[in-house]
Amino acid sequence: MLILRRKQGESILIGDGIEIEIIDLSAGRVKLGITAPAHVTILRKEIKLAGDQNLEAAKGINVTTIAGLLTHLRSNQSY
Amino acid sequence: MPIFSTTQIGLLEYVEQDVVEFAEGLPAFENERRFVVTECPENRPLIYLQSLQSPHLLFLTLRPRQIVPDYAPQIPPEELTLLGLAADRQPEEGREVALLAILSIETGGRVSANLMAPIVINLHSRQARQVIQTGTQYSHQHTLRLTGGTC
Repeated sequence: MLILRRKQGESILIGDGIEIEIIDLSAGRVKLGITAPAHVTILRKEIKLAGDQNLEAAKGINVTTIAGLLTHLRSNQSY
Repeated sequence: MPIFSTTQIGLLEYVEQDVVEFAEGLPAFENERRFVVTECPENRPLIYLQSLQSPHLLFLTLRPRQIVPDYAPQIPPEELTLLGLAADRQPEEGREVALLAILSIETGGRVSANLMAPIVINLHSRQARQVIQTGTQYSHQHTLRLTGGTC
């Protein structure tokens, strides 16, 4: 991983056409300004993780898996 | 009562009070806005979250406190505002909001719950959001303790 130190107002450039500017720093948070071509998707990482987990959750559900899961849940006192 | 024909659970009869609206959809399912929350004796303790737009889109969920009894999510103020809730305190579960954790059945039978990003439903407006907590102790793949073999 490349690690760079930047001050408020400074930028970095990635490839052709992507610029990330440090707009503001305060209380443990950083505000970034990102300029990128329209075809580049920009996502907060946690949203990508949540999306991947949702895709995983929506897979493989059928009458058999539901019945199996119910049996397990009901045989466990805590549910 | 309206009836919706689903892929996994057949015909689903529901009442409007059980419909929830996700104004921004869910991550990876941004266009899925209308879901029905189905809680009935036949599927207890599971709660179904069935899309009313896509017959094949069903999430299996549990109340997070059935998994972790002292579950206490930290819902960011901006999320509370978007849900039409008071932003200066955490909402009261059962009175103001309902919480659901989405389950994943993985190959090999392990079942996990997403406690990092619970579904939060405003019980008065029926507006819902999947709230992603950052810097939380809760995992997006919290393994359920299940007795016996695999599912």
